[in-house]
This record gives sequence, structure tokens and C-alpha cells, in this order.
Amino acid sequence: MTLPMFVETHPRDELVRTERLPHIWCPGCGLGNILSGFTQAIINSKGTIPIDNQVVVSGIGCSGRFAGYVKVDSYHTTHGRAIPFATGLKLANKKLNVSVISGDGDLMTIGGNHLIHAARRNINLNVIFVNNFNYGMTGGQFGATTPHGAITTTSAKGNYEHPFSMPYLMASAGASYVARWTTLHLKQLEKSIENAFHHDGFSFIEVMSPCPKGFGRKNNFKTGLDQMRYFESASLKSDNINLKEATASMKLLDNLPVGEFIIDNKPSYLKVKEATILNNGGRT
Amino acid sequence: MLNISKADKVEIWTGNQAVAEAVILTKPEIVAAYPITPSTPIIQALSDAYEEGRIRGEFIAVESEHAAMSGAIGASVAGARTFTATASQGLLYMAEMVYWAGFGRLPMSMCLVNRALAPGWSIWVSHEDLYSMRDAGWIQLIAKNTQEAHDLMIHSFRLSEHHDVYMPSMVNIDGFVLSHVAAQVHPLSQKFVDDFLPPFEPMFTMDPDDPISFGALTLPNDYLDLRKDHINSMNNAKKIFTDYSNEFAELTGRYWGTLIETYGNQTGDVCIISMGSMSEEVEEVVDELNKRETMMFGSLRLRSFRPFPTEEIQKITNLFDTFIVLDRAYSLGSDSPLLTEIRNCFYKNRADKNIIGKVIGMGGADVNYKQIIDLVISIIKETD
Repeated sequence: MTLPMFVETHPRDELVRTERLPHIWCPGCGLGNILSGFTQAIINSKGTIPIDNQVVVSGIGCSGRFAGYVKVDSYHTTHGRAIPFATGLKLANKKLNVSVISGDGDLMTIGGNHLIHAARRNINLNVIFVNNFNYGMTGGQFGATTPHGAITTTSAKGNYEHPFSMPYLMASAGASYVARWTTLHLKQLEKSIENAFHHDGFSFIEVMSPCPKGFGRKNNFKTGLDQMRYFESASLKSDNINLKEATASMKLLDNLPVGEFIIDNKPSYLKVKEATILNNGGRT
Repeated sequence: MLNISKADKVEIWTGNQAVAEAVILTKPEIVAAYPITPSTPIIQALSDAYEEGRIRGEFIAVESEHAAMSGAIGASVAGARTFTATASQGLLYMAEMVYWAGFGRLPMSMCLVNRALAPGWSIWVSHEDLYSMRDAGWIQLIAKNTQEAHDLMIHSFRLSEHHDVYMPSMVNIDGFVLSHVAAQVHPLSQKFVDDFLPPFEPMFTMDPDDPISFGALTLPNDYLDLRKDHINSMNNAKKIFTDYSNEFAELTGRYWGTLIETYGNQTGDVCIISMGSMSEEVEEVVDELNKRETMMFGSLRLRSFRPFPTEEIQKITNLFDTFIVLDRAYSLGSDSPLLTEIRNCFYKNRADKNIIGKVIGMGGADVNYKQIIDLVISIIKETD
């Protein structure tokens, strides 16, 4: 059998704005994998969630470009404000399945306040938190998830601050679905996104992603592949881990706990609101 | 003339480098900043300068622009020389605190790397961000090239810290056109800057031995008094900046003008008014048109938008017949912001002239002298 050298279409073309390609992401960046996993999860969920009801909201930075590449309704919002924007969107049109896909700098550093409040409300959003451990777009400065000691363009002698552990933070803030994968775990990520789509409440998936240009080359991961190899050797499926230990040091000998850490069926924001105000309260 | 730098020393610096190197010479004790294109390289260079021990102080890698300006305010209140840099959306996000620093009369300096406001998303030059903080009580200076950006930073700190001015000051440089393009810069020396810019002597600081309350509730009369004092100080800044510019020219041989710089004919048919990097193109235009046309052309550029050089512009109202105001922004529902200000000066003189505003180069659209020439010629034909 002779395999064709070229193909006219890609299986995900249906959900990607191909006219915008090639994308702006660097060679070795993990965002392409996430785009692939996310679009596949949309396809897999077609039976229960019509594609027309899928919405993507992004903030600013490399991950912020996500909104421009998915062929569903999408909005590239301002820096840090994707979650309040998505909250307004969801409440105005509750049948939408709203996913926020953005980076660590956007969602946690400049927008961290909104993230913890969204988790506290257990509001019906899916947050795909792309953690590349630095501000990639502006040239690799350290932010709120950069490992302690990491070299960045604003910490030439090593990061003197300490990072958030995102799963631990999200769980304590009230998120009812918390998972973490790396861009190596494409199948698990796909499934996890599907689970998030169907979870009634605030879903948070942290995806560790290589950033060879910004973070990697200064921190022993010269190429994207080097960081993928690290993900392969360090990742440890630990669904039931005490989240206090779910750190991400990016150090060679440390484990990188991954898995679906929290699946809690407590009532979502919309459910509670419906029960307390719309049905029992003064307003109809 | 003083020895301002090693005579033969010329650096090839981007505008961002030229700004950062000047700021390093001013030895700020605190830089609080958040990365945003196209201003990020400035703060990276400052972060490096602290880490490498070139200057003493602290770089605060804050979590947002709002926190950057808040941190700068805290540092200024503590009596520290303070700096930050931002652009566009970053400035808008820090807006509440920009006004706080302005109305709070807190000396500090900022480099605003001018970039268009979104949406549509754009990282390229426009002056909407500059105008957005027009009324925030800040001094707003504008550089036309990389060398002037380097030189203006020193003026900015000195003016801001002067006790008869005492308010924050920003230096505007055009995004990418100046911030990222490398050009020749004659660097100022540490000795020159130490002499030109005396150490910051705060008028009010948080001092346990002499407690002061900042930011308290203000009743209407006091509020009015605060603003009146601010207005007076802004007016003082006009003369003081003019004096500094002349002093700087005498010491260095680099004359950039005062609140304004004129070029070409000082009186004639057409005067082209502009700001920022576009002014260098306009100088080319004036040379070219004076050679080519029978009419006489001149240029006026603003080096300071706040305080506005009203008196300087009033002086030229009767020296030309037609004035063309080029602006990189537009005030929706009105006219371009610069045109409105210029007309105001003419009204004060009761001068009845042709003043034509043209918006050009917004969102990074390329502006070169040939396009400006075409524009000027078409305007002249229309007004004939």
C-alpha cells in the first residue's frame, strides 16, 4: 500500500480556523497539542453538546491566541479578564458550554483574583489553564507559577519568589473538578476535557506545557522534546494525592503528580442560584 | 561645554535600551513593573541592572499594572526615586492609580511606549494611550528619536522632583518605531547625570517621627485648593522645563527645543504641527517642500503635551497662513485631540487661520515623509 505524501485535510480541520494557519506558536510549544486535544473533546462530545453551543474565551499571551484558532464562537479578551467575561457570557446564555483557555500569567498572575472567585462560586465554566511557567509572549519573565530558583529574563540569578500550586489553590478555593495533565498526556487530557464539559460546576484543568523559547532553554529543557521527556519521566498518576504535595518544581528528580484530583458533585453556582433565588426567593 | 560622555563613545541602542540606560543613570531605588509589549525590554534591563549590582534598589515583579503603579506610589510616598514603564492596555489597567499618583502629587517617572488601544488588537504605535491620561495630573513629554528619549528621561525625573512642580512625569516614545529600532545614541555619563539631576528630596514622606496622613477624605474647599495648587505647579513646570532644556543644550550641545521645537521657516505659508517620531519625518517634508515648492514651509513639534505649550503656539498663530496638525489619535465624536488643543491657542489670539487636522499613522500604519508630502500638497490644493 502506498501512503499519500500529502493530505488535503486534517481530522480537526472542522474545528480549526485553517485560514489563520500557520499559527504563531514557537516550534516545541505545547499549545498545538492542547488545541488538538480540545477540539477532539468537542468532537467526542458532539452527541451531548452541540458544537454550536461551544464557546472559547481567552485572555492575553500565547495561549490567548487560542480563541483565534478554534472554529467555534470565541473571544480574545483583555489581560486577566477572561473569567469575568466568560461569567457574563454564561449567565446571559446558560445553554452555552463556556471554556476559558488561557495561560498561567493571564489566569493566575494578573487575573488570579477572578480565578479564585470563580472557583469559590463553583460557577459553570471549564478552565483550561496552560502552565508554561513564565510569560512566554513578552519574552520569558517570571510569574506566579514559575518554579522557585528558575532562570527567567527578570530573574537572571534564579526566581526568588515561590509559585502557586494550582490544584491545591483551586481545591481550597472551591473548584469541584480539578485535574492536571501535561501536553504528553494527550488522550488523558482529551478525556479530562470531556469530563469537564459534562461536569456541573467549576472545572479546572492545569496543562503543563513546554515553552522552549521562554522557559525551557534557560532551565535545562533546550527543546520542547526535552521537556516532554521530562514529563514522561517525572509524571506520576496520583488521583488521590494530598494536593498540598501536588507541586511542580520542574526539577529532574522531583515527581510531577498528574491525574483527576477532585470530582465533587456539590451543587453548582447555577443550581444553587436557581434553588435559592429563582424558585424560593422574591423574584420570579 | 562639559564632557558629557567619552567623546568618541557612540552606542547602537533601541529606544527601549536608551531609556533603560538613562533610567539606570538616575539610580532609581524602586522599579515596579509588569511586562507588556513593546515596553518589556525596558523593565528587563532594569531587573538585570539590580541583579548585576549596577544600581542599588529593588525591582518588584508585580502581578499587574495596577499593582505596578500602586507599588510605585508606595515607594514614592516612602521618599524613593521611582520608575515604571508600560504601554497601551497596561496604562489603561493602571489608570486608577495613574490618577492617584497624579492628583496625589507623587514624584516619579514612567516611560510610556505608545501603542494602540484595543480592540482591534494591535501592538503598534498610536497615541490613544498618551491622550487617555491627559487629565491625570502628570507631565507628559514626547521624544522624537532615540537620543532624545535617552536625554528626556533625565529631564523627566528632575522636573517631577522639583518642589515647585512636584508631580509625576512620563516620557512617551513611539512603540516599535522608536522602542525597537536601533539607532546611534551618545550616552550621558554618570557624572553628568549626577550633576544635572540632584538626589530626590521629598517634600513629604511617611516618617514615624513626623506622622502625616495621605489620601484622607477631602471637603470641597480643600479639594478645590488642591487642584488650584496643582494647576499652578503645572504652569511652573513650563518655565522650569524650558530652563532645563536650555541648560541641557548648553552643557551637552544637544538642543532639542523647549516645550516645542521649530524647524524650517519660522514664518511663511504652511506650518506642520506634530508629535513623536513623526516629527522627524515632518522635518524631512519641510526640507523637501522648501526646495520643491514656491511656498514656505515650517514645522512645529510638541515636546510636552502636559503642560501644553499654549504661549509658544500662540506666538506662531500669525506667522503662517495655514496650519496642518498631524495626529496619531482621534477623539471619537469630536476631533483629533491635538487639533482641539491647537485651535484653543488660536482662539485665545482671535487668530482666523486655516487649521486643518489630519489623522495619520494610527495602529502602526507606516508614516513616511513621502506620504506626508502627498497629504500636504493635497491640503494646499483643497484650501486654494
